[in-house]
Amino acid sequence: MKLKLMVIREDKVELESFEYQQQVIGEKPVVLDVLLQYQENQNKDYAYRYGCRNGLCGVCTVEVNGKPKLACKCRVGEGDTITPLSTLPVLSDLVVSRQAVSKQLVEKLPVPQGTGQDNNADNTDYQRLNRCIECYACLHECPMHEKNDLTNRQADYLYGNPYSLLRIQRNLVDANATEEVKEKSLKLARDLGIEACRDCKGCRCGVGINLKKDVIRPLLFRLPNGEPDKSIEKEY
Amino acid sequence: MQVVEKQYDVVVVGSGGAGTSAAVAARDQGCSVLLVSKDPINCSDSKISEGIVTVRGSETDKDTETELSSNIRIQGDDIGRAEHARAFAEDSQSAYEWMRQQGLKPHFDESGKAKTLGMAMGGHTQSRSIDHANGGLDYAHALRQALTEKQNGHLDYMEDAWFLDLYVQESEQRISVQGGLIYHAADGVLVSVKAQAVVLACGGIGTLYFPHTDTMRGNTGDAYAIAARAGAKLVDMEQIQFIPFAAVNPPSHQGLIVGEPVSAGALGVIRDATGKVILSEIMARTRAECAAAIAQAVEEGRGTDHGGCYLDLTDNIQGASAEPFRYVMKTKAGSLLKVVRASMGSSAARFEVPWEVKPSAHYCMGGIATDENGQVFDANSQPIHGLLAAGQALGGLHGSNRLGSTSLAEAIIFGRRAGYQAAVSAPLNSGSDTNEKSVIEYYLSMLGRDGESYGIDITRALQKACWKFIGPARNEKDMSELKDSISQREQQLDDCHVSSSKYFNQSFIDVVEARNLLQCATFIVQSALSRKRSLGAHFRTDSRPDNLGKRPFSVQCFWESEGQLKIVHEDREASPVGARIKLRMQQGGKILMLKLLRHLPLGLRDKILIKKYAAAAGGLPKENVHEA
Repeated sequence: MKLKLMVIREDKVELESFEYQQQVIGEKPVVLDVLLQYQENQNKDYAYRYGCRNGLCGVCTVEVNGKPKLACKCRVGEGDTITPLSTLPVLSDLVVSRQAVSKQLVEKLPVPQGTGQDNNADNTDYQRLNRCIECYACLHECPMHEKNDLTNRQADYLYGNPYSLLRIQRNLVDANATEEVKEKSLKLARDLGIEACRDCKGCRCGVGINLKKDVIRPLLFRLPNGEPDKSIEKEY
Repeated sequence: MQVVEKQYDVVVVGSGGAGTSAAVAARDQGCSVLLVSKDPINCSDSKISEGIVTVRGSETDKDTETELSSNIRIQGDDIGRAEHARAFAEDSQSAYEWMRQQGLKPHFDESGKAKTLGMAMGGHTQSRSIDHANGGLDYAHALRQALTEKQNGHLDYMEDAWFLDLYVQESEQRISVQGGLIYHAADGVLVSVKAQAVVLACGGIGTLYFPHTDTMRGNTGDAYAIAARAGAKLVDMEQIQFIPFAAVNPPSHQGLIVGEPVSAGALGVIRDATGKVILSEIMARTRAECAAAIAQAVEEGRGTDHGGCYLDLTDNIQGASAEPFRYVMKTKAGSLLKVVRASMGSSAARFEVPWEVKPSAHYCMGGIATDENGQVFDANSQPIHGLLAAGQALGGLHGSNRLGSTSLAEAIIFGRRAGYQAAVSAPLNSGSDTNEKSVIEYYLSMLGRDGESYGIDITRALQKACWKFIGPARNEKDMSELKDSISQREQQLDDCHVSSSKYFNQSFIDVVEARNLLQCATFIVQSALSRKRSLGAHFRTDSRPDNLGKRPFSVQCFWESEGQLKIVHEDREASPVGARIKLRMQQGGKILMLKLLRHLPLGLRDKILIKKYAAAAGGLPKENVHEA
């Protein structure tokens, strides 16, 4: 099976061809199988991330033919092209810098204090959002995230993304969160630029959380004059 | 590469349950804390785990601290430290309450009480394990919430950051740690950090056996290698827990966990390649017993082509209890069944055909020698000032066998203890120099080195050898051979190619990790050679296990001089004979009950099983019990 892999170093950017050798008869390799073999056979210091090989740790996201996919779960086919996430600055080869996204909410998002209110509550909505593995596939074509300075590896991000909105929305469905926590969370959503969501068709989650229905729409509803745009309404 | 200087009160390495709780505990004492993580923040074994946590008394008030600590001690063959088991039993409730405060939500019953699994997990005598809707993801989200909070102290974290080595000061027979060197791959710099204390919470060694492991790629034994280089003593490094049931094929699924002894149902058995039953009543066995049975069969040439055996659960779906069994498995082991379906097909996921399985490296029960607060000891059992360990990095809790669901509790229990201890340890500076300069020089000189081979070549070759020779089955001859080949590979490592690039320099990272892996292989093989008889997870094909009456001892190791590892044995206190016999009899009783069950008339057997499954699942949906 022939594939193309992106090589990005300090001095070059290239698309390299690679012929994957099947390891067992009838094998349907995933992206990670290709990366492991490519590193061992052809490019010994190829940079890529992986962790659990089981769709849980969320670190191996790359783009396959321009779409974000988990390398450990996505099957590849003849002629596929594997490139780094286009939504974050590249450090080397397939590795992108994730720190500006992961740090965006630190000391900004209020944290619900104490326990006890959730013992007798229905926590289904909360737990539905916890399926997030932080693979950052949702950054793809996000109009909020696109406003950030994505060429600078050290820049902080002023604008949000579906992942940060998911964590904000989780506060709003947390039985332990006070009204004050919820108000502050909503304000943060506004500060991060959630208004951009009104004109957006919506985002896609890497593990199948319905971001439009369970995150974006409930947040937009809570905003002042928060009737969502008609075009968004139609999506549901 | 530029060297940036920083100063914090406390540095914590590793951002799983142990590292995160340690960092937060130190911050809450008002310290400035740097949390260092080579993988993206909180993307650890805690996150990818089943998310089941031991909490004493979560099912019944009769569950005492003594009973829990005695379970840990005896199942670990008494080679662990009693103080650690006691600390675990004392803190399991407060540790879980801490996780609750960070947003962890269990399932609740009608009265608002956290629900348990409803059954005693492997090695426990009580049902005391709490599960969560999204498994380890719920646990990881709680850890992240803990890092998000604004608090008195100050907490910075750094991801894509490899902690390379500790700064050590030696004076008057006393070692003290004063920070260390970090490669921050995301910023393309070396960070030289000074601190009054460093907590190592970056344990785990699964990657030494890749692809025969179900742990995170980052499990390259960094904590053990770094601590030992600073003069620490390690304990029980021969005790690597292999989960018995992992997928063998396709390559991308190799090593991933597909089952636990407790998920084998009442009638599951293990068969060799010829179809002969080699172990039954699996539900009442430990992981170690199951893994040893498979390893033995493979060693004697009765394994499958992939070097495994068959886990046969087909008897569980013979009668009216079939649907309730499927229901329990779906609700309690859904994530395991996903892997079964993906790797072996849907008829396997319906239990209609036996599963081809083999053991897979899961957990390092040995680790850095510490007291019950994580204070690290040197070769003479004196504290190394300013050095602490927690989580899987810490040794001496589990002994030779780890009880199911204890690791996620252990992470928080010892993480918080170590974090607190780090915060209150006063800076100790005798005025003499640390090895800072030589550490920085060592790593800088590596950059831009030309060579034929790469770190990854050495790692791959080492992984193959380690699986074969210090994996689930071991013998003297093979291990001696491995010991020699490791030193050759260490020399090869010094000639490896390392590029000079700043950002995410993979060749540099591979050499750093290969070195840690090689040193860990040395710890494991020499400890394993020194324990002549099988014990717990350490299974030798060339000797019989020790008998019950023998005095337990711990195998310990440390660097005597460069390249010279010293092995010593330390005697341990055995648990009272009465308690040991009682526990063995309880286990024996369970096995006997399962044996009897197999021979009951089908109708009666189904009745009993349906009742059991209903209890385990917290009730069965109506359509599943109509036949009963």
